[in-house]
Amino acid sequence: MTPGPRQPSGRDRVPPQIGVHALSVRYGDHLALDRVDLSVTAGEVVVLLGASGSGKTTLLRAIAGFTVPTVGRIHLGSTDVTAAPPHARGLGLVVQNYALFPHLRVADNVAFGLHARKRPRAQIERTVARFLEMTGMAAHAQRYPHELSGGQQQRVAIARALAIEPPALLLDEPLSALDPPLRAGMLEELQRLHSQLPQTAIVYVTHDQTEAISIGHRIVLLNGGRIVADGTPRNLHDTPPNRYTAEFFGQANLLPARIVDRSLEADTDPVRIAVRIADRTIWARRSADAPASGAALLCLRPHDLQLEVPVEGTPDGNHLDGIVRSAQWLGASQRVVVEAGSSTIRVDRPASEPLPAPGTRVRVSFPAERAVVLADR
Amino acid sequence: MELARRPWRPLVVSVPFVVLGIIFLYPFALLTVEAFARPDGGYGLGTFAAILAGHAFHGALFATLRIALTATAACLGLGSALALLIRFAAFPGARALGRLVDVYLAFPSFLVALSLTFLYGNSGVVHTLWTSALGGSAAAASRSFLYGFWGVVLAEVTYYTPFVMRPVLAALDVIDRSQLEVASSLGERPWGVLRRVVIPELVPALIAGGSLCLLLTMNEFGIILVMGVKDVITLPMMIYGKAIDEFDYPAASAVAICNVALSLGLYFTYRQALERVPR
Amino acid sequence: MSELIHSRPARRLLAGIGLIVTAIVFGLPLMTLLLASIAGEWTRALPTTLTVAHLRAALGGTPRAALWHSLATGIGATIGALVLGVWGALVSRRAPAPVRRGIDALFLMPVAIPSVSIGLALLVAFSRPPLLLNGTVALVGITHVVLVTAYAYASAQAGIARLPAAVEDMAGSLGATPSRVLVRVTLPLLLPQLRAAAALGFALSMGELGATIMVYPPGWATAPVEIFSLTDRGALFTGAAVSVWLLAGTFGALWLFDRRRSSRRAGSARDFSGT
Repeated sequence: MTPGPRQPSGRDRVPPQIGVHALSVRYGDHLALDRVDLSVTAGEVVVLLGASGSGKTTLLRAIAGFTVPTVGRIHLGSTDVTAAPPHARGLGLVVQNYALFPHLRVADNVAFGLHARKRPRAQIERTVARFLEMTGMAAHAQRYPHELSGGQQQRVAIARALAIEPPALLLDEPLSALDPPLRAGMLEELQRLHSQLPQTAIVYVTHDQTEAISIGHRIVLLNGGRIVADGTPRNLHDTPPNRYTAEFFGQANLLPARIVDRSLEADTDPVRIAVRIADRTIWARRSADAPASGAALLCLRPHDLQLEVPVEGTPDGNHLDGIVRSAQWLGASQRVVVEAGSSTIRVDRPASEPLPAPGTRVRVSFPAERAVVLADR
Repeated sequence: MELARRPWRPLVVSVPFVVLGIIFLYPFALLTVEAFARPDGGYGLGTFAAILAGHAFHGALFATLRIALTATAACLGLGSALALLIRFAAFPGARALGRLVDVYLAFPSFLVALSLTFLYGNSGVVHTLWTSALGGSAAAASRSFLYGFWGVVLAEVTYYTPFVMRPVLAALDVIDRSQLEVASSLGERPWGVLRRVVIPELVPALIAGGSLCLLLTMNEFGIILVMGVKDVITLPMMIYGKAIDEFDYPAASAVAICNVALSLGLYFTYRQALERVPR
Repeated sequence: MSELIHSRPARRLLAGIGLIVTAIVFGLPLMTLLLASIAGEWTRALPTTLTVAHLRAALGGTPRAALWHSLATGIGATIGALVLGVWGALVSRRAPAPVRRGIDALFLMPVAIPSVSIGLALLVAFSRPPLLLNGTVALVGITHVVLVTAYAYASAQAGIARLPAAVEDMAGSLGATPSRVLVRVTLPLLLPQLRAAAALGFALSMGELGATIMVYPPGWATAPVEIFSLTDRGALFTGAAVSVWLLAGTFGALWLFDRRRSSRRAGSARDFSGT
């Protein structure tokens, strides 16, 4: 027997867990992954999010065993699989183009991994039937892949990966070959499948933040081979730790600011911080990685902002005055661009509000808990 | 198309067909006529029937098929093995080797026979080494295997294996590598991935390459002629013998008609197999 | 594509096997032929002395004439076959699908027919009136044209299938006459395929034996026929020397005709899959 992960079987399934420790992958001069740490617990859905070339696919391929790490270790459960070939790892893999075996019928595609494991015939039939049923493909069991639509092929690919009952399912851009209208349905389908297999961990690679938000329990954002953010979708959205995260994840107005002397901070709320923008003092929340003093960024999400009529002589408060540059109706909402000093601020408002005319003086206001101070990097 | 308005268009269109008619169809029409010619100047089935019933024809047909089938089977085995090694072992120069295979296709086949004579013939390198290893006295008595069935098969395998490698290499290029990765992530070992994924996907290419190989080995003439094989008479050799040695054109024509029919039948099978090869 | 073999030693071992088998099956015969053409004394396993006498002998007397005959036939037949094949492909392109299949069958059929039978048919047909060509050099040329046209046709057809869409219509809409479109647009675009077809056709013609041996006039043997009669008489080393010159001529011409990626395209045309 090759040393490999323990096969999950029956009741005494070990808690499936992926552990990646200080993993680096170097291709020639290019460092594709730079000391990455990641751990995925049983049943967790972790999304590896990033632009192309960020290292997310390299990380997934290293976990699957197709990319040999330059340094670092990979554990599945308590077993070190860093040197184990892919076939000894027992992870389910679903790729972008489905990669169904064209010469095999749907049922034989799903049975592929079970045959490789030399399971008894009756058990294979039972398992195949169960997963075809679960993915809604039972009626197509005797079809060939080329007779199926893209969405159906993807279901077969998922059923095939799940049939070996892997501790973790690795999905590499699984929806990017589908038409956009089909994607939302497929995402719900994946969530439903996961609720039926609550112990199976999922590592999901995508460049699409909408997919990431809707499926991920946790999002790991990669850039240039490093992890730049790791947290729940809500967390990354509301308190992005850095500029890259704020910009990649949702829309953001990022205004340069200076952190005011910390003595001004309210004692009651340690995450509250005061910054100065132009001649104003703004109260905001502090993101975990924000610097203690000096230059920083104030992150304002466009839909957290409100427009008011400016009143002369109003004391300090969480607002910035400016002039409307443009206003555009976008169906469900409207987008107003305000020029405040040297900064441009985008504001998203409900479409029901009257559209302000360009040139109007406005005041952009926001509650302190919706403004975040973060590091400028 | 504007040409349609020009009066000389039918002339322009028909030129290649007229030429090909004269230099290709007309000769084959006369070949057919010749096969049915009787010595007295009339026409009949006499020559044809006599040839078809003769032992010589049966022997030649059997020899042709036996050589072609054996050589094709060996080409399929060797060709697919080498193609798989070139692609999967990924050794330095593998790509260049793949291109060298293409160059081989422009090589005249009979030169392989000549080369093998120097290598494995009665006074060739290998035979000399072999017989001197056995002791000098055996050398005079033993005759190289080259001048019989297996010699012809060896020469044809040497020459025609690239014809199998080409489509197999092309098919290997279009196999989706993520299929191989998914197969191994599903727990299949490399040998199993080869057996259960790669080889089934090569089947159309093997059919196409194999039937081309079968067609060309059935038609092969230069190798057998140059090798000087006396006891292996294939259909093309029989045609050559009847026409050039015996000046019996009607008999040669009758054998040629049968040979052409056999080859064309196989050719159209090949064309059909080719349509199923994914491109 | 090295996904299947993960361990480096295993990959090295298999690569070694591949290289050794390739060398023995394909490299060794060619090497032996080259060696034979320069072998002096060859009574042991390997020649004990080397000489250029065979190579020199192969450039004099009848072998020299035969090499010239092959060169002339090759050039003539290639030109003839290119004209005929391209012409046919251009016509078949405008034909409705069923007619096109018929034209394809007609043009490609010669590759499927044993060359001896083609030679016999031409010999039989042109040994009687109205076309008495038996014993003439023209018959050799015609034979080679018949054999090579299929490759020219298949290459031209493959090139036509890859013509950029609407380029010719665009030229027509700019006021070019059809003949001008053909000469200035279509044929230049087909040039890569035509060069490949020319290279392959020439190589095949240079090496043709089966049909030529049926039709060649006395005293006008081509190089392959000459090689056969030399080796049949037992003059193996001279035969090897003529072969080496024949190969040198063939591959030299291949290189000249089609310097860029010639071999690849020439090879791809040889399996006459056409389009």
